[in-house]
Amino acid sequence: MIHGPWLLMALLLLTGCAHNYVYSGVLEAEDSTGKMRQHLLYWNRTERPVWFDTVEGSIRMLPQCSANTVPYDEQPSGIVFRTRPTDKKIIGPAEPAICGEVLGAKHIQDLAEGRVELTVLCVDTPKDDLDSPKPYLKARGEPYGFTVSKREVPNFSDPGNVPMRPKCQSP
Amino acid sequence: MAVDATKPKRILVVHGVEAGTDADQHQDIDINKLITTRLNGAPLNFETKLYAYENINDTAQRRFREVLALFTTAILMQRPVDLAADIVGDVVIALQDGSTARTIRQGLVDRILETYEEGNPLYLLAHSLGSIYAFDAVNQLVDTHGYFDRDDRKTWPVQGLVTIGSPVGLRMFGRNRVVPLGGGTKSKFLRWINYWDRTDPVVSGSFYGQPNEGYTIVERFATAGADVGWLIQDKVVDVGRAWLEAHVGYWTHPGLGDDLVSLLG
Repeated sequence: MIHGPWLLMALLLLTGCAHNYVYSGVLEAEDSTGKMRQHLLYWNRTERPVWFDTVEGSIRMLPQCSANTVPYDEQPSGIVFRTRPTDKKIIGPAEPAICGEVLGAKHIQDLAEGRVELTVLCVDTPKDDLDSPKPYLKARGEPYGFTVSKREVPNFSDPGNVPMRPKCQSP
Repeated sequence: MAVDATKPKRILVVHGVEAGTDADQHQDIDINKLITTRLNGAPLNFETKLYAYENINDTAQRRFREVLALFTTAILMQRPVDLAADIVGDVVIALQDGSTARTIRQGLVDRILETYEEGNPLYLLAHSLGSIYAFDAVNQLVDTHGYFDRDDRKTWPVQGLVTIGSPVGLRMFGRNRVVPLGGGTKSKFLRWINYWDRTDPVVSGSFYGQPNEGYTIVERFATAGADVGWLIQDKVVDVGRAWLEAHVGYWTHPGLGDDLVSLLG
């Protein structure tokens, strides 16, 4: 029993009294092939009031009927969708490194429940037969708006705690 | 001999320093389960394999285990353990030039080339100290004549490198640049994605639990000129745990699973 309080303290130190949150929202809109699809936007956040500041991961957008995972990463310039080898910019000035951004916030930590707006400026362009077509939200000049809600979860690893890619009903 | 796009894409998992023997390692099964779960029923022709090297034992690896044990003890006892950084450095230096390190690295290269002979498009996923071996193995192959024609990915024995919880960005490891692929049409890039959690002490070298600031760890490796041919991106992940729990938490992180789906798909 003498180790009980120390064990409890050690566990608290290790977890930092963590609170895990998942933010997510779904938008139905055309993808780059012109098909109406659902697009899931999500990110996660851990708050450790005892020891650490709040930390977050990247924002991800998962299109229905596509294996693509569109990343919006926090960078010094903001929360941006950085170009990958299979992305081709088709809208906006010729800045090859950026395929979109989250509007109205420089840090993921600043994002809250409610409306989150982002842009998509690129299209999926497979380079060879080692790449499969992976369409995502259609590029356009106007931003898209997602309605995001927040949910506390025990952890991020158990099934059901983090929302999944929308199931494909009609490929 | 070339990569066959019709064959299943294969992830070769390279574990870090772990307890037990090769028979106790099952990180390939963990990753397979993670990807399958995150696919949510979508089709993807893939498989996972493991490169295990726990049975290749030596003093250096035992010392690394001792370092990890020291981290744990120090964290539990709230003792500062900066000394551990020096010990890690010693371990790495020993690993760099030791015969055991060469054996492990060459075993990985051989395993990569076996897959290349079989034709499966191969992706390396390496954790912790395993990422050092993976980094060295890929660069060794890039530097070997006959592989990695910049414009023909079917000559690439490795299609992408994914590192998780990697200490490769710490200066003590002495890695700071990749071997360039060369010029070509510059339409194709070898991807290296490095995932790190801000509280992972093995990534930051900070054993006080201070969250690591900033955005980049290994993107600075791509400074060898316009013909480098690598697309290197750091990605911060929040695995929802802290310190050493964060270091072992990547395997079940949904974001990693979603990104692997995208990389393979």
